[in-house]
Amino acid sequence: MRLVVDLQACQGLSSYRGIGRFADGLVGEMVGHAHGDEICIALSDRFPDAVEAVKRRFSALRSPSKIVVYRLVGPLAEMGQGNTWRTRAAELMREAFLAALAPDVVLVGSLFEGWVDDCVASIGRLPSQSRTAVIHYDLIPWLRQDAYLGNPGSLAYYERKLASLRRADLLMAISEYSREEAESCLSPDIGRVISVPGAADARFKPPSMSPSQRAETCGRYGLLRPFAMCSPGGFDVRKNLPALIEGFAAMPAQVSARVDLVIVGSAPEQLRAALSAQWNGTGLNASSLIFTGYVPDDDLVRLYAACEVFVFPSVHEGFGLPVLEAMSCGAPTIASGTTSLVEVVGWPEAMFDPQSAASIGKLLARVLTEPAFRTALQEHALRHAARFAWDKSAVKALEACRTLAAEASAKRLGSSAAPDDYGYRQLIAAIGGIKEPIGPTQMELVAVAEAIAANEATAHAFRSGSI
Amino acid sequence: MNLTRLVPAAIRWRINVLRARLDPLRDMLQAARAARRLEPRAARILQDLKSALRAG
Repeated sequence: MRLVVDLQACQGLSSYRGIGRFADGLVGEMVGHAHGDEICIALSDRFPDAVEAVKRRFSALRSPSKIVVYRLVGPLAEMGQGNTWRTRAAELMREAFLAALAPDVVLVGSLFEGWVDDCVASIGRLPSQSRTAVIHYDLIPWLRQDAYLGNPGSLAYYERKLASLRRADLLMAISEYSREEAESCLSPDIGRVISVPGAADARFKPPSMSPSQRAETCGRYGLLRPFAMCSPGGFDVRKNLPALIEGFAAMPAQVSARVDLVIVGSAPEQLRAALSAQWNGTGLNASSLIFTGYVPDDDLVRLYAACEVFVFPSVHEGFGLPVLEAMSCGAPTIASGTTSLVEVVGWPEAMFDPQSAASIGKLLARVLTEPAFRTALQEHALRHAARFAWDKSAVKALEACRTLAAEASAKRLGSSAAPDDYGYRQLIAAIGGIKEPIGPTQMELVAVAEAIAANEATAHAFRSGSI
Repeated sequence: MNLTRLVPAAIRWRINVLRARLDPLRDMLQAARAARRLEPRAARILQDLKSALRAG
């Protein structure tokens, strides 16, 4: 099988988030289990620094994969007015390039990219001889449109992505919940859906840490007292941080008075101010709410291991990687009993109702006052987290891709041969047919022609084995 | 000193109109220059693209 993986998920803004971590983890492990299958990583030239980073990462693997870079003409972010023609052309150019690599299966690392950055992803805008699989994260914006798709531009963008998603042959959902969500929202116009749950990176394990190292790490972030920790992995509304503060304040005063609440990550200034104001309004000690800002992974591991309790109040997740990372480090973890968190946390006693401050406060207080419960949570965390392993998901993903490859092969046998020009005429005709109010400038057309020629040369070099 | 404050709105509007007319001309000249430097395959693709755009 020849599998081409479009790994823009590890290039654009999502590369810093759970999406980037997930795509990197799964695809890295798939490469390691490829045994006889050819896996090629395709990257966009719109992110030159990330191209080098991904090349370094994948060339360091035991069985390095081939990496090809396609050229596009930007800027492409869909929220930018005036980018639309270029984006539509880039979608076609990307599809044509991937098809010209003559894959059996194309795996898209993340489809819902490109609103704020130069990622481009579409499915089925050009006819193809191969099958397409997508790593599917969630449908949160679609299900919470008021919060995420407020303006008509973003709604139209999302609808176009959904149309592409419906043309995929296989969705690899990142959790059982995400699989059910996709099936219930998109059926019947949807391909096969399987779940390939994520895992924490191997770095996330109980650290060997002396008391002085622990004190040094905590001290750097101003953590001088016992602390409850929340690493929300984002600061959008669904992360439900105001409810966490309410829940903290709902604990008995003698419990809340001896513990700080630490929020990890680069929270926007406006949100920090709002949460601080809410905190101060509850009468809790002002200095007990601590924002650490960005914390590198090595320190994060130590903070997970040092906290009294890790709490995750989000109301909607596709997976909830910070929860699994905390559990993998042995943090006593409690979280909302909703969406994918139910399967990631895996113990009803460790879950609360995220809509109820009383429920959050009651469970927090229990962890902070019952040492036996805290120990049970720690033991459960390590035991349950060990069930999530990249190798199991990678093997399952590869099996599903091999099935798709067999289908693609049967389809090719039953139809006419691939065109000698690898879809060149279709690409040119489709670009000519783009209907947008603002068309390309003459200079953009020159740049597009150069990019198509460069992509043809790259694909030819790949097919002939010189890459 | 903010010069745009000193230039009457009518003149600014006129400048913008002129610029709107000149920009495509400049684009065309730059593109013609760039097209002359294209490799043969890219030049061929450019011709095909132009034909396709005309055909719509």
